[in-house]
Amino acid sequence: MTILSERTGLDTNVFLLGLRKAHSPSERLLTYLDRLHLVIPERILRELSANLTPGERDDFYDLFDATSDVLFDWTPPTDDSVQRYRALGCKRGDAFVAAGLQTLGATCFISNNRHFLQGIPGLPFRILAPEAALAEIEGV
Amino acid sequence: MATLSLDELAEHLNRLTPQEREILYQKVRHQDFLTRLEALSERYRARLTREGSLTAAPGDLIAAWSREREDLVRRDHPE
Repeated sequence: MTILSERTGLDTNVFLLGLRKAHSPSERLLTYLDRLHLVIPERILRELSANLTPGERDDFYDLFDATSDVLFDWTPPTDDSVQRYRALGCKRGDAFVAAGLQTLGATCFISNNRHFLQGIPGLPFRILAPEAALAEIEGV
Repeated sequence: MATLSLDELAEHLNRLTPQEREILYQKVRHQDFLTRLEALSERYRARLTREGSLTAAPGDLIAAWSREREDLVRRDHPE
């Protein structure tokens, strides 16, 4: 199984570093967005909104068309699901992201933040750096 | 580069098998996606350049977005 066959989420830092062209693996990973089974939970959508202008946001949504397999979810995760991750030791913001990913059935999350959910046991999704995700996609 | 009229292009397409045609359509859709991705990236980068923040270090940005995550969740979901 590779990320091309999994429900996959991307962290805000992957989207934004890729669009900035400030990090080559993130930039290259974005060129595969149309091949991923993508999930974008509420927190990631809010963070993207905080960093993009309304026009840029429109362009972002226009990346996806009727053939795209992408789930946008503007619904915040339930308190119970957030508290579960809080109890495991997650920071509050990270707990919301993790709960949102779980709600959407993600089995993979790609982040440039090496500290994201580090050391948290029993996560329902694996966490990859963009470099590792590219290695799975490109088979190198 | 040789160019084809639309009629000639249609003739070429009609000679393709359904499988080849599907692969071709996928390639066209992907090229269209890449064009839109590049346009968004250029728009975003142009704005950041105007604001003087395009050259920030990736490590600093990742740390700042991590702090922003906590700030936004405090704002949207006060304890």
